Amino acid sequence: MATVSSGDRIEVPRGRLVLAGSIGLILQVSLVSQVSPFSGSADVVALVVMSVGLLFGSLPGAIFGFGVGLILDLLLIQTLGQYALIYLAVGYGAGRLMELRTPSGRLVLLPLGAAAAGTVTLGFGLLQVLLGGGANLNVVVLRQTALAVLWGALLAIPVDAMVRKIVVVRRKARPDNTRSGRSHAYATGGLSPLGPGRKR
Amino acid sequence: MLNDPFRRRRVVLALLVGVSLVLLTATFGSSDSGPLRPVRNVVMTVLGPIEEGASAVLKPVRDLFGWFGSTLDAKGDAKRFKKERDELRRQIVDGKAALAENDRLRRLVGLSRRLGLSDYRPVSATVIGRSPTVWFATVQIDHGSDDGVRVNQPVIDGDGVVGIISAVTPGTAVVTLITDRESGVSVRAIGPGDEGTVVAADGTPGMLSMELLSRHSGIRVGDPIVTAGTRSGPLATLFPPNLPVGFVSRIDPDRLQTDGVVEVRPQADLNHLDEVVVLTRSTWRQ
Repeated sequence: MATVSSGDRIEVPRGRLVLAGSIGLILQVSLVSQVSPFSGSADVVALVVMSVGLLFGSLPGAIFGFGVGLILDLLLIQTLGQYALIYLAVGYGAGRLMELRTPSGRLVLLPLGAAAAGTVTLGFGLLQVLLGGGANLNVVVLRQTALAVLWGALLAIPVDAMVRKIVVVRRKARPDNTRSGRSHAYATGGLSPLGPGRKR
Repeated sequence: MLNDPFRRRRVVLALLVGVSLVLLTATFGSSDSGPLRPVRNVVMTVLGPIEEGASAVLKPVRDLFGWFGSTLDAKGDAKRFKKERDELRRQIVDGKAALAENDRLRRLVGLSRRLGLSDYRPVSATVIGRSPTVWFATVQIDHGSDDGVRVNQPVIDGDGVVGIISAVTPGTAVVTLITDRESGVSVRAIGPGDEGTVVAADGTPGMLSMELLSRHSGIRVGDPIVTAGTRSGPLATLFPPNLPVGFVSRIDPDRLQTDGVVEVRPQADLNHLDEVVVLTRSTWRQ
């Protein structure tokens, strides 16, 4: 099982991450939040942050989550730092999971997506309590939380595929190391394309 | 110091969390982001048009999802409305049944008043059973000897004569209808005044034959037939006089000449009896 320690230097395609974050934000604000089956439940941005954390590790995941969350706070004209703090936690948590465990298989994205969505929902509730806004634990809240977790699980795989499509840079195969350079990350079964073949 | 990756990660993480908390604290309760308002304005200026464009582009997708959502909602509504419709239909059926029952009871009361049957101590009863043959010769009612019902007491409904009590138990009684072969009622035809006996018609379930005493009768189709109320003699009857029995429905001249018989259709709908009245006291026999 390939692991990437936090001490490894990872090449992060910043421009592509900005693109992925922007697409996630636009999808969330302009589509997902306005579609009735998802409204108030599905959080695509959290899943994008989770995928970035799984791909690049805890620190890039945390920074990406913070940045995307801050922009979302600004876009939604609300108390700044809420989404930033929560997405930071999601990105960091996903990244640490990749660094410590390197989860394998696509299906593992289902519980991870559910966990990310649950973290956002519960994190918001906790912040509301801490900020003095009050958070009543009633049937509606529980139902919304369950829906968020469900949508998180269902959307995790397609969102992760989208993020990979955008941010993973596929290099041209060199004749001398075609096997080790291109297919190693997937041969290990890990979710991260960053295997030993890409370490610098 | 920051060359150590672990330390660098911790420092950056702490910095980000600290910035988040500072932002939370600084902008909490402030709708305009406080000191960060210019930053927000810049972000909105840059991202606003993109957001608008994306919203316009994604509108068909939203509409598609909305269509699915509306379809699902419509299906739920349809299910609910079907349930409500069924409930309303049940209420309509119940209401119609109540109206019909009310009508029957009114007719019973009307007949009772018209013929002055209150002296006969009428006992209202409901038909609870029916003989399982096509002839419907007997029915069972929900009142018996505990209510004063006795054998041979007349039974009528809102239209006319139904039959007589042929058996009783404490809680129920059996009514032998006038269309039963064992039944016979002394009657007279209103108009010509011919008297005779009404019995079950041979081979025609539900119909009656009136056997006239006279072969030279002026009876006509449509003449009403009522109980004669004869108190003595061979045609002595259990029924009070003038209770409607039926009307002459067909006259075969040859049969009238030879047998003195005409066909009578019962006034009461003996195939659909629900409420009947038992006349528990025969005042004329006292």
